[in-house]
Amino acid sequence: MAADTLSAVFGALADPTRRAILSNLKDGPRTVGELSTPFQISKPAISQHLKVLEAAGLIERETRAQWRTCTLRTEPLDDVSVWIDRHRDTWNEHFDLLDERLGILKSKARPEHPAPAPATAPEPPHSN
Amino acid sequence: MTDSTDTRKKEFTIVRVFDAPRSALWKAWTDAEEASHWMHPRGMTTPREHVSFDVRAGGTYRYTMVNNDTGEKFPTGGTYLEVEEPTRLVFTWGDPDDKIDEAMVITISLEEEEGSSDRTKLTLNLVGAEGHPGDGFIYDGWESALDSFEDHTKR
Repeated sequence: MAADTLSAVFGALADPTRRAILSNLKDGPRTVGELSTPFQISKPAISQHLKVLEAAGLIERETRAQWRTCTLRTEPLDDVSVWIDRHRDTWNEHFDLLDERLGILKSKARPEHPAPAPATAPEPPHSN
Repeated sequence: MTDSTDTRKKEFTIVRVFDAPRSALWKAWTDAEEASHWMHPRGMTTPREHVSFDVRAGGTYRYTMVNNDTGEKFPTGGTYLEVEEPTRLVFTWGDPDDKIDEAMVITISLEEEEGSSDRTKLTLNLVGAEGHPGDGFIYDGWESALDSFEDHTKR
């Protein structure tokens, strides 16, 4: 490793907040929001720390459709478990919201509720 | 430190029963207005004007989730691979700019619960794209930093 890269690593580790972030990431990937919560530091301040860690090659940031996560491994982790848990949690949360939405639609359809808004033209089968 | 070889696939299945008829579930997945109500995490919104669904084999869909606090936008989209109303929907899911073979594939199956047309069993199967080890979660930076540090200290 080039001397300046080594300096980047040491510099990154020299800050207690950054060491705490790395420690947090040992348990698995975290979003920027999750990382900032325990430290009571603003997200921009955390982002600054993350830039330093990323420049030193100690974390990787991923931007996917729903979130940005930071990930670290200090020992062999089970990549597949982490991946599965993350995506499964996402869809279970979607389904909770779907459940709530279906409940609302159902209660709107009940006879004892006031009549719904005047009938509108039927919805097209495909919406663009 | 070596990469562990994990032969498990990036894949999982969720089964859930909803108190609604199958037609309502099909509509939830394929109607832009309905989808905007639930296709997002808590704390985000999917504005109706950013949803477009072209529900047919080969058609594409797109929606954008917006973080309620930060306003940050997360576009999501994909291509429908199979559309069999009202029982089956197969589509890619991920970054709208991903090529089809780079994206995850989701299969939705809808079955009426036995004895009740007002309850529907939904099965979601999600398969990750084949990628190289560490795809999406890159630990190599830390690993190589430690390896190099170790090498450095041995000199």
